[in-house]
Amino acid sequence: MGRSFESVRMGVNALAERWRVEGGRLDPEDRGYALIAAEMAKRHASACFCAFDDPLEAALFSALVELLKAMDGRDVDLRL
Amino acid sequence: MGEMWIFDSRVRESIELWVKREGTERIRVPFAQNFYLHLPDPHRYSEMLEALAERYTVEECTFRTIHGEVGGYRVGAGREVAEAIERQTGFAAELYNVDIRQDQRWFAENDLVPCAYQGESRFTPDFDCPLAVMELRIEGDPSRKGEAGRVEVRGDGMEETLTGREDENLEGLFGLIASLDPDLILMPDADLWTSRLLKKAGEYGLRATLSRTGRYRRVSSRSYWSYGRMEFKGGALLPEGRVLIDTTRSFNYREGGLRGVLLASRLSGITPALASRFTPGTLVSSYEVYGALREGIAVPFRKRDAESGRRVDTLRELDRGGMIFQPVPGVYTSVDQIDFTSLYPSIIVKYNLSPETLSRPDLHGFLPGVLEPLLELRKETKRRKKSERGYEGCDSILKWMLVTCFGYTGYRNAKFGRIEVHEQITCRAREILLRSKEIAEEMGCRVLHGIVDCLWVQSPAIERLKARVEGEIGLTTECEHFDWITFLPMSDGYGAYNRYYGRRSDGILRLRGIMARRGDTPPFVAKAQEGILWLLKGAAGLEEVLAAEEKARSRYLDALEGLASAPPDELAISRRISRLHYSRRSPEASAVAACLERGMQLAPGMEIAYVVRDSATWEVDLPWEASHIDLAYYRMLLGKAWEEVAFTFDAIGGTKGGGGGPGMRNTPPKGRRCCSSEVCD
Repeated sequence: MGRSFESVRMGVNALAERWRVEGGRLDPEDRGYALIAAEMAKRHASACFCAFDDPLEAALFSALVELLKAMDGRDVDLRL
Repeated sequence: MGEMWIFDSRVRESIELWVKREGTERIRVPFAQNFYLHLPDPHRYSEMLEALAERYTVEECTFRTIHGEVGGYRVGAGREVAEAIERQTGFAAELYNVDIRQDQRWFAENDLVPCAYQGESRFTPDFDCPLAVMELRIEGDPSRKGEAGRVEVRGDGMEETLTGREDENLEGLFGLIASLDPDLILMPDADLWTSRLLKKAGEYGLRATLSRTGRYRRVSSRSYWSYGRMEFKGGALLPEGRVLIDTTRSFNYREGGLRGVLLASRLSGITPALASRFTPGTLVSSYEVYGALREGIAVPFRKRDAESGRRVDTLRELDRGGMIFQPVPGVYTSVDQIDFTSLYPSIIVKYNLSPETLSRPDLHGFLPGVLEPLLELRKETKRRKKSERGYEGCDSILKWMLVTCFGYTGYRNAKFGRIEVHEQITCRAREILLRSKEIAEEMGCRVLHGIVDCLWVQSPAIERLKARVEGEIGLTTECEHFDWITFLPMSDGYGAYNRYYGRRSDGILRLRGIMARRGDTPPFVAKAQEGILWLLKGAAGLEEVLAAEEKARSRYLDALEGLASAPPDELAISRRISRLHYSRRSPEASAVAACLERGMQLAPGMEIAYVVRDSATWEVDLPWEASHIDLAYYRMLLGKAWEEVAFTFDAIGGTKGGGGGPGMRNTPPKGRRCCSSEVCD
């Protein structure tokens, strides 16, 4: 019944996982930031999938929103 | 035909009907098979047409399809001839009314339905059932070798229990059926027992009286894929002239009871014996076919409106499924759930979505036309069941039919489905949920979660929100108020879409996706979690929830203690098997091997149960053979069940957190929040 595609949310989650794994290979002082970037990318995964077709676009959008919130001094909900 | 009430039918040379009139009668009505044939280039097949006309009646005619009038021929023959025409024309011939049930077609052409008097509307939840009903229960497990045990019979104001030897019990049972002569038998595991009873009757030299004529119709078993998982549908022997319902295996009976099955039969134009055994998807498909035949619309044999080629990115853009807003895990107070009633079928009707309206939106679509009365009936039963529980069965069966009618539009073999309709329905649904969220936020509400057809909101004025959403979207909604609700996290800490529980303002706990609700949770664990959650039933506020923490923990610890002495049946894990050969060790692989060693007949899609003896090596036992259990494994399961409840205490701020048991975290997982309209922003 219907068809199954990888959803944008699933794509963002896979992308964030790659970022997380890749982050582990960075210098120790950068690793924490890489993990934060990966989490920021996932933060709006479910809401973004309606607007975007491309997981990368959705991930960047999500991360940018979270960055702006962080710059604005707002609590950024990160599950680290 | 008089005031007859049809409850069974068979197609032979004529159609045989079993009816209630003064008493029970069998009547035969003449019937001739025929199908419609449309040839794109009739001249090219003139020789074939001449040969057909020599052997069968062939009349030139026009007939209706959902796309309009079509010129062609009415051929007085059956499916074999139709398939021969297909082959001979290289599948150029378009064939209609070939594979439909001939009794269903006869009902439709004569304005009749089973389980209804002639002229009676089928779209009503109020109807008579003049059938003599017998309830029958045989002790024992029909899937295993061994003797049938005690037999309990109830019907026509009498109750009798037969406790003798197997042959005596069966003789007594067949005697009771013959003397009480019921029209309908309700029996747990009937489809497993029937063939065994017939075999035993042969061995003991008894006359089996389940069928009124001694004849049975075989329904074959089959394994099939549905929504990405293997399902199994067991076979059955249907007695002639008597309705036999398997009360254990019939999904429709379990959901809708006898009245639900009878309503499904009336709506779909199929006998109640079949209505009890069909899946809701097959029911709604039968309903659509019956609706088409009743309107004189020919039913295509093969689908011809195949999807045109499209780019993957176009498909990705169009075929996205339902809209979801992820919740933040936590406990929330004063939450309203606003839920669109039968959203997908309502969209089909409101937006006139049907295969033929994709290219001709001016037409009144077949699907909206056929679904509208079903939708109206569901609204009626949903309204009535609030004050009269007697309507719950009918409402449930309608709910399932309407739920599956959407999925059927995307099914490759659906007679009246097209994937593009499927896409349009989900597209509209996403727009509706998104707009509803916007409306809620414009009105100062906080949207906590949303999934396909409903939103969870903290709203200062839910009635105003409901009115505005209904006014703007044009579809009806239902609201439920929760005193508190817990959205659980996934393993990564983000909110799970479908795992939550909460207390409604009427004191009822709603559980979704947690261990007490999952089919593969051992009954002992499910009951333990239910027992713990039961303590929260009376807790209208967070303080009362917290006050129940000690008792809850004590129940959990009691359950832990009781694990070692729990009966193996209570620890059985039920799983659906997708195959019979596994390459890796797993509990399912071990259970399948154990069943096969004992000569049990298995098929992919079947559900099997096992008790875990050693989770390190995945050694399992069949429940009736289990003598040892892997206590640590079951403690872990119980721990998980407790953790789902303890999450609420942690989130509110319980002093002891979720710790204290095996498999437990001693610190709350990250991202937990307690948010209420009163105490949190």
